[in-house]
Amino acid sequence: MAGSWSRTFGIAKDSLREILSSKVNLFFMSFGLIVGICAMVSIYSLGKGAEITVYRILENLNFGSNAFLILAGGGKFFGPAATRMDRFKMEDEEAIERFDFVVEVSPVQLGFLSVASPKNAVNTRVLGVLPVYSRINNWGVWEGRFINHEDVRLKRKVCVLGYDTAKNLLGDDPIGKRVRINGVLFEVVGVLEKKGVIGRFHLDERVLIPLSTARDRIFNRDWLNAAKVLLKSNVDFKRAERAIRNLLRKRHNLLRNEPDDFRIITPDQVMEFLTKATRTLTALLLSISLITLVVSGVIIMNIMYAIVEEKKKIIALRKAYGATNRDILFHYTFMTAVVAFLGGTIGSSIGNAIVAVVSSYTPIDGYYSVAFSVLCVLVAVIASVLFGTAPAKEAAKLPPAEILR
Amino acid sequence: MVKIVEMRGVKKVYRTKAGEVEVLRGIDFEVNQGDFIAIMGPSGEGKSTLMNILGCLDRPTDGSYLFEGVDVTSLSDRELSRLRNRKIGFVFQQFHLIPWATALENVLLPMIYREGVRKEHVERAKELLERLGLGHRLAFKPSELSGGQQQRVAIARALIGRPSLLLADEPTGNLDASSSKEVMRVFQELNDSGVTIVMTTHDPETASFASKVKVIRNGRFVE
Ligand SMILES: Nc1ncnc2c1ncn2[C@@H]1O[C@H](COP(=O)(O)OP(=O)(O)OP(=O)(O)O)[C@@H](O)[C@H]1O
Ligand SMILES: [Mg+2]
Repeated sequence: MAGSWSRTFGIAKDSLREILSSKVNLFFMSFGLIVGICAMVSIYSLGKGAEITVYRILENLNFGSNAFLILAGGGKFFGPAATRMDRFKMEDEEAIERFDFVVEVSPVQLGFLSVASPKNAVNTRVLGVLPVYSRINNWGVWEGRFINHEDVRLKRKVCVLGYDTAKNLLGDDPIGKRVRINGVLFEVVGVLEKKGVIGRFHLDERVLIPLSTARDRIFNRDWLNAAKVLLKSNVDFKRAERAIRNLLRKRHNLLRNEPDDFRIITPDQVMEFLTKATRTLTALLLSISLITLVVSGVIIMNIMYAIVEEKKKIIALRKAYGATNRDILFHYTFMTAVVAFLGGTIGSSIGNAIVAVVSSYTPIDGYYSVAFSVLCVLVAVIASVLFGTAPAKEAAKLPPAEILR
Repeated sequence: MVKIVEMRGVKKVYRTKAGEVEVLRGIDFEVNQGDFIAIMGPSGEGKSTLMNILGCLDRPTDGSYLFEGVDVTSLSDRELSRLRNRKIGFVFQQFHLIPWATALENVLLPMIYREGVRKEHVERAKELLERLGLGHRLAFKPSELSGGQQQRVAIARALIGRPSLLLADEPTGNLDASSSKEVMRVFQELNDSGVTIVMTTHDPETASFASKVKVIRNGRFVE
C-alpha cells in the first residue's frame, strides 16, 4: 500500500482523525449511504420474510398439490373480491362434487360475529362447515367431537371452538357448556387442536358450526364464501380447473367477455404469485440500490472535492514533510472507505431494526441475513471508493510548492 | 567545510495565462554546514520561489542544484519526497499546523512518512517541545496556543527528523515583536548547536540575528 505497515498505520490514523474532525462532512457523506443501505436491507429482508410467511400459511392450510380453493367473488389473487360475492351457491358446490375427478368438496360460510359465554365475549370468525372440513383440512378435535352428519341434517345448534376461544370463554372444561353466537345459544361439543398463529390468521380463535345451521339460523343466506376441492391424485390439474371454471361460468350465466365472478386459487397460481412478487421486489431492490449508490457516490465525490480544496495547504504540508503521491492517494481513499463502512454498517443496522419492528407488529416473519448485510456494506465501500478516486487523485497530484503560495 | 547547498545559475520561469514570468534569473548560492543566512528583498522578488527550490518543493527551470553533493534536478518525485523527509525541515509564516492534532502529534507528523512513528520519536518530540518551553502544552491543539507557541511547535516539527538544513520562509511574519524575538533567539541557539539555517525576512531586526544576509533584486543576489 504505502510502504511499511507502521507507515500505513500512521497515515490511516491521520486520515481517520481528519474525517472525525469534521462531523458535518462525515454526516453528509454517510447520510445517503445510511438511507440507501437501510432501504436495501429492510426491503430485502421484509420481502424474504413475507415469502416465508405466505409459504407457512399455505402449508398450514394443508394446501396439498391435489387441492384447490374456490372463493366467492372475482378479482385478483390475494386481494378483496372485485365483483359481487352472492353468486357462489350451495348448488354450485353440489354440481362440482358430481365431477368424477373430484373426491370431495368442503363448502364454507363465513362471518365475523360475537361469541359470548357468561364469563366473556369475543368477536371472531364463525364458519359454517360440513364434517368433511376436518378431513380435508387435516384438522381434528383436541377434546370432544367434530360436527357430524346428524348435526347438519337436523340443523343442530352445536359448535366446535378453536382452542384459544374455548380457553378464553369457558376455561378448562368447555364440553357441554353453552355459548351465544350472534345471540343464539349453541352447545359446545368439541374443541379443535391447537394450530397457533399463522401470519395474520389466528387459527385457534375460530368457531365452527354446522353449515345448515349457519345458513338458516345465523347468516340467513344461501351463498358460500369458499369451497375447498380435493381432486383424485391422478387427474390433470389444468383440465380439472378448466372444467370447473366452465361449469361455474355456465351456471352463473356469464357472457363471453365478462370476468369470472369467483376465484380459483390453485397451488400453481400461488407459486406464480410468489415468483412474480419476488421478481418485482428484486427489480425494485436493484433499482433502489443503483440509484442510492450513484447518488451517495456523487455526494461523496463532491464532498471529497470540497475537502481536498479546503485542505490544500495541509496536503502540501504533508508532501513537504515527505508524503508521496501514493501516501496522499491512500490517505483520502482510506477516508472514503471508512465513511462508507460506517454509513453502510449504520444503515444495515437500522434496516435490520426496522425489520424487527415491522415483523413484531405485522404478520410478516422476521428474516435477517448477515450475508446480505455484509454484501451491502461491501458494495457501499467499493462504490464509494470508486467515486472517491477522482478527488483522491487530485489531492495526490497537488504540487508541494502549494505550501508557500 | 561541508557544503550542503550548491546552486549555479538557477532560473525559475512561471508560465501563466498572462505570459511568462521570469522570477529567478541566475542564482548562485552556497550554504555550508553551520551557516545562518537571512535572505532579504522587496516583496515579489522571488524569495519564496527560491525557498521552494531550496526545499526541493519545486524544480528550477534551468541551472544546477547539488544538495550534499547530489544533483537533485535528476531525482524523481518519490526520491525528492524522501530527501525532504530526511534532510530538510520547514518553518512557515502561517505555521501550517494540523488543527485537529495536538502539539505532540504535529511534531511527529514527519515521522509518519519515515516508516512510521516509533517510541524514540515520541521521546525526542517531547524533549524538543520541552526545550522550546512547551513541555506543559503537549496535548494542546494549535487553536489553544499563541502565535509564538504555534511557531515553536512548527520549529520542533522541523527538527524532529534531524535535518541537514532548516528552511524558514518569513518565520516571524505573523508574530508580534516580542514573539519574533523569542523565535529568533531559538534560531540562534539552534544555530549555535550546529543547525544550518536559511530564512527569508522583510524585517531588518529579524535579519540581524543571522550571521550572513543576502539580498535579492531583479532575480539575482546583489553583492
Ligand atoms: N506558482 C506561480 N505561478 C505564477 N507566478 C508565480 C507563482 N509563484 C510566484 N509567482 C510570481 O513570482 C513572483 C515572486 O513571488 P514570490 O512569492 O517568490 O515572492 P516573495 O519575494 O516571496 O514575495 P513576498 O515578500 O511578498 O513573500 C511574484 O511576482 C509572483 O506573482
Ligand atoms: Mg514570500
